[in-house]
Amino acid sequence: MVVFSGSVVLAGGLLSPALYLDPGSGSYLIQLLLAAVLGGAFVIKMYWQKIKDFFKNRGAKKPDDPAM
Amino acid sequence: MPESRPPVIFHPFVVAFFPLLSLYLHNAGKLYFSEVVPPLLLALLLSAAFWWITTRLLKDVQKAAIVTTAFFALFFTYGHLLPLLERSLRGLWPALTLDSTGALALLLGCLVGFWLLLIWLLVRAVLNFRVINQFLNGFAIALIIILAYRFGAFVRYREMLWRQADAVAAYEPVTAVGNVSVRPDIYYIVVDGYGRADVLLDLYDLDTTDFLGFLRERGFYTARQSNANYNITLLSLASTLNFDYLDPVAAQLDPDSTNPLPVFNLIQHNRLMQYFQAQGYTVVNFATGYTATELAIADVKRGPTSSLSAFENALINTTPLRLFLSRKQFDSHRDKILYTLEHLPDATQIEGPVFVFAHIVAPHPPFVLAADGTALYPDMGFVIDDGDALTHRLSREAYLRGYREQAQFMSRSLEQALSQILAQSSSPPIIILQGDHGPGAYLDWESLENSNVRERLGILNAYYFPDQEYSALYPTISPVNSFRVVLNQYFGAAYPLLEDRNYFALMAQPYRFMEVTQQVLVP
Repeated sequence: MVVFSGSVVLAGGLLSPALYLDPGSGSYLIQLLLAAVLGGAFVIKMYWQKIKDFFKNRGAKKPDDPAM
Repeated sequence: MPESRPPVIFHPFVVAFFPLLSLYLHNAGKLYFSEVVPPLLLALLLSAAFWWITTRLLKDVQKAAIVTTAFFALFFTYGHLLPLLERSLRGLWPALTLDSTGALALLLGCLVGFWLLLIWLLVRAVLNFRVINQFLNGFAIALIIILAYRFGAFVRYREMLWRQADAVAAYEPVTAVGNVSVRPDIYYIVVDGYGRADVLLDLYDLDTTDFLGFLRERGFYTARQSNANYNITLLSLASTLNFDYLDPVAAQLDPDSTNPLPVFNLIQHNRLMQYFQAQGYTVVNFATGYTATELAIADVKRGPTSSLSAFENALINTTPLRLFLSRKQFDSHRDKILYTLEHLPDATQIEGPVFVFAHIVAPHPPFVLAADGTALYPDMGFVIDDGDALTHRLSREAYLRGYREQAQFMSRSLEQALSQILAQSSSPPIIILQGDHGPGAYLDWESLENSNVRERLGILNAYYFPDQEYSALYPTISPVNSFRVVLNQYFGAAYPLLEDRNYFALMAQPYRFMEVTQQVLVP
């Protein structure tokens, strides 16, 4: 259902009901949002090893934590 | 390692061209790509220049890239935020519209403030610009993928349209026979939204007796009880210019289709003008700012030298430029109306027979002309819209007043233009002066029950024939029969006149034609 809705939004311009020119604001903003999510995923993927290392190192340091 | 080498940066360019291509694809059925190319190149050029300047100022190409992308993203998103904000706030304030200069300036101020804050954070190195650039590159790649997907959908859509070609082919080419040695000039003047006299008097307190009297005095036949066949311009003109109903087209489409391409193509490649071109006529077309009626097949295209296209107007409305250019947009629209009215008689000077197609977007809104011709600037952003989409912003009273003024101006100007055409024509022409539909102060695009169909479908419909032989015309003749009469009477055709039927369609379901013939009949 989500995939279908997304397809409709992305293809929305082709099915635009307005016979005057339609700015397609809803579709435009959703596309930006979608691209931002994908862009974020792209960065996370690039830094995935560092993120994993960061959490691994935190875990490894725990035994030496003076508070333990 | 991600930090070891600076990323290749391309996002400032993607963010500059994406909004334009997105807007084009959203309206691809109603535009030619050639309209998009000049603003697209300009946007890319401005993006490069902006990046270069900010690099000089910030002395860092990566920071400058972020500032550039943020600027263009906010610049092209500005106009899209307005309807979102309106819808969000409408629950609290139903009558809210964000068209006023104050509201527009406030939103602009917020976005500029956000942008300046971003610059400050970058300069103070609060933000990791390396990571941001990588994010923006990913963002840009995603935008390109989205565009590619939409373009693919559009191509498939075009293919579907060609498969629907049978519907278009259902309109057989004109096969007129007989003596066509006399080829009078033909003027088809569409005055968008010009309603029928009795409706205008009842609902708009507008008396057009003098104008109709002028027409009759000059030898015109006026069909006093005429109604448009369709309530939407594209449908109406597609039907009139192919002198048939659109049922075969609708039958080929999903009933809920909102695909404008079939009717767009029926106007652009209408069989009427194809016939006249084959008969040696020169087709003359005037600029309208409405791509569908700026005809690709026209032999001569006339219009003001500098005027904004439909795409440029729509693009401006998505940017803060609307704050500064709305007067220019209204000026450009008015210029097209005035140009057409002034230059219609010029066609009399063209050698050989001419078919003049002038679609004048008036008295249809926006209301940019007072009765005496004074320039008006509506207190709203520039849109070519009608019905409740407009009365929501303008108020019904303002619509009635604006329409009345603009219709009065049109009547007076048409008298001058028609007088000149008749005086300057070397032999008497054929003139059809017609509204494509009526006005829309009482039109609800989402409801037939809430709309006044008599208002929307009652039209001005006047004919001038060289021999003034009007026996084939009758008071209720509708546009679908206009050119049947002309082709039969002057070009040896034998088209049977069709039953005059009238249809109303909702904007969301333009091919679900609801017959309202009985409702619009004058008692």
